[in-house]
Amino acid sequence: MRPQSASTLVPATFKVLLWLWVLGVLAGYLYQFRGFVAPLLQVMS
Amino acid sequence: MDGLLAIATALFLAASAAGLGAVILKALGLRERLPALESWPVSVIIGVGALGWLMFFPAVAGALTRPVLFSIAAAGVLCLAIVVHRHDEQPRPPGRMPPTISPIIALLALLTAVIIGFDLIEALAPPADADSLAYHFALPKQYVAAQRVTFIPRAVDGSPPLLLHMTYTLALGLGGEAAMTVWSTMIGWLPAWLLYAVSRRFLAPAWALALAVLFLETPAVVYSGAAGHVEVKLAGFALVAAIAAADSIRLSDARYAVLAGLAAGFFVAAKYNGLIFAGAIGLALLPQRHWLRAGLVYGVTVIAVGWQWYAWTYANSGDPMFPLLYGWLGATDGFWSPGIADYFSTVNFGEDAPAPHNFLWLLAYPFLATFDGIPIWDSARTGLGPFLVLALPFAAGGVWHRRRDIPLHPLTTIALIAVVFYGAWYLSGTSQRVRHLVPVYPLALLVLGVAAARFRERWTGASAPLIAGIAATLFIQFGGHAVFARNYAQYWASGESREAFLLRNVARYAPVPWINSHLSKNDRLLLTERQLVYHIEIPTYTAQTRFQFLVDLVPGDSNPRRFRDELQRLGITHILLMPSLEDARRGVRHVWTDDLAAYTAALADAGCAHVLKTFSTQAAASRTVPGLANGTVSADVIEVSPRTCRF
Repeated sequence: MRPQSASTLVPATFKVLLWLWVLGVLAGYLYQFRGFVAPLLQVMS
Repeated sequence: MDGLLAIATALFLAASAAGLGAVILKALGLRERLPALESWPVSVIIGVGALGWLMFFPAVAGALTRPVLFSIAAAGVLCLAIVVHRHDEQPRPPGRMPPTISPIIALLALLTAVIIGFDLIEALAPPADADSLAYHFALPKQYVAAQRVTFIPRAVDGSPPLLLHMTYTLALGLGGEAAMTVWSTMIGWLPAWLLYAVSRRFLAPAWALALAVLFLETPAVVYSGAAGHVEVKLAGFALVAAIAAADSIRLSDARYAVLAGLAAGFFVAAKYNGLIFAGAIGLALLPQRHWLRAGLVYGVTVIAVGWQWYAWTYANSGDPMFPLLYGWLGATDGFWSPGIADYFSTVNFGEDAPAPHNFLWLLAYPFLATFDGIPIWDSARTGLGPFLVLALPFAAGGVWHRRRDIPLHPLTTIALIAVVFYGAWYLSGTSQRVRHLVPVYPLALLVLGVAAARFRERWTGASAPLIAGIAATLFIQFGGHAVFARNYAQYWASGESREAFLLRNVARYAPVPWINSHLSKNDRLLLTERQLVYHIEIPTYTAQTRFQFLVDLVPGDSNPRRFRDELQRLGITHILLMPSLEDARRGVRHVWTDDLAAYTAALADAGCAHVLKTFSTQAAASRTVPGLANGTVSADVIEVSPRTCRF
């Protein structure tokens, strides 16, 4: 297996970090509504 | 039919605002200079301010009659007719090709149409938002009935800067309740329209539309846009002022400084925070060659536009921002006292601004408010959503990529305004509720949105996570809006009566129908639950402990005899007490009513008051999800009877 050059490794790492940031922000944002889910489902049913 | 009439009245007022604003822009020589897409939204926003400004004069003169209200609105429509007619006579410059309707644009346009539909079904239902019922809509109702504006010496909601409330008064006086609520909703859409138009200076149509929809779907905007809250409407003034300030610097043209002054002045005239905003704009105007000229014309315009309600409040109370400057200026006798001033600042600011006012918390607040805010911040279900934080690394990449352009870029001016406003607002120690930031929220959306999009253009690797983040935010927020709208859809679909809807949605509403059917216009009801004021059809006096002093309820400050005298002076004939006297004697407590209950009990024991009717009242913690929590407390309607009083 050939080692990846820095010119492809750095952008790939950045891309992964950006995805992690986006998913982390969305998950963190939604987590505060955890107590809201059950009564919400009750209303929607 | 009522709904159609309400929408027609609101459209009539919108046409009036468009006409007034267009004439003002024309007089400044800016109408043809603004980018074509921005001309109409700026006109309507400035026109809304102009309508409120014009209303001041008949309001203080006691001339809020229908002919006067109609004349003001009709004058604006006449202006519109003249502007449109003259425009038609001129050769039209070749217009830009309309954007190609891509599937993304079609989807976002459909989303916008659904949002407008959601907002309208809320606007056409009976008003149920607590602050709107306490004063945003209650004050206009009172002004229309009295045909004049009346000063109420109560902190926060008695007599705030009233520019936007004057436009509510205009709508109510011309078309009734639904016209007022539809108008309030409609002017809440204006910042999104202008945000789209301004974003088009920098972005492709789909990105600009996405930013506008993000704004409309923001929980704080969903929650308060279709209610009487002013912050969403103020975002329009803030956006006009910020863009005009940036253009004033970019083009070194003082006419844009006047436009910035008009918009900032309207903000000042509609909310005390406008003073902070006007200061931020003033600061942003300084880094230019003709800073003195721009600063002077801006300052003079802000004062010329924003003075009205400060002068009126000063004339009525001796304090232009009653009671916030009491420590320096005092107040008209009996309106305020050192005791209530201490109590108000300790209790109110302690409760509304619990986080320390230091630099560390200033930096932490946006993140905490996104993920896990202090409950009083109202930053979760009615917060600003996740997009601003989500966009940060993308925007940072865009800023780094375009770092050489930053000193002269118009978005730098806009970012500076938003940051200065935020910093001064946070450190001032005022209420930390996140909705007070809504006026500068579109500024942040614009700056971060454009910077993030630039990064994506530079590096395609950022495209997928950014687009996914925006799509997920829109999806989450649209879901929230749909849940919020469900309550109103249920009202319309089920044929539920107005009373049943209000009983379900307005906290502690149960005694209101009885009060309206058993008490008369000659009575006056003292109450502490301010959200009931709008729907009570007899005169009321809101006696919240910390906000007013005409009935002294500061703990340990008063006595039952003084209480009785205060009731007599105010002409109070009845008291709505929560909890009931019987429950109060058993030790049941309700928020902020311990002293009122004690004095009322003393009056009842001395034969000065007796219970007419007892109720059980409910208050849901959420209108959207009623099952979240439901507090029950008893209530008495008590008649004050001075003739049998043994004091």
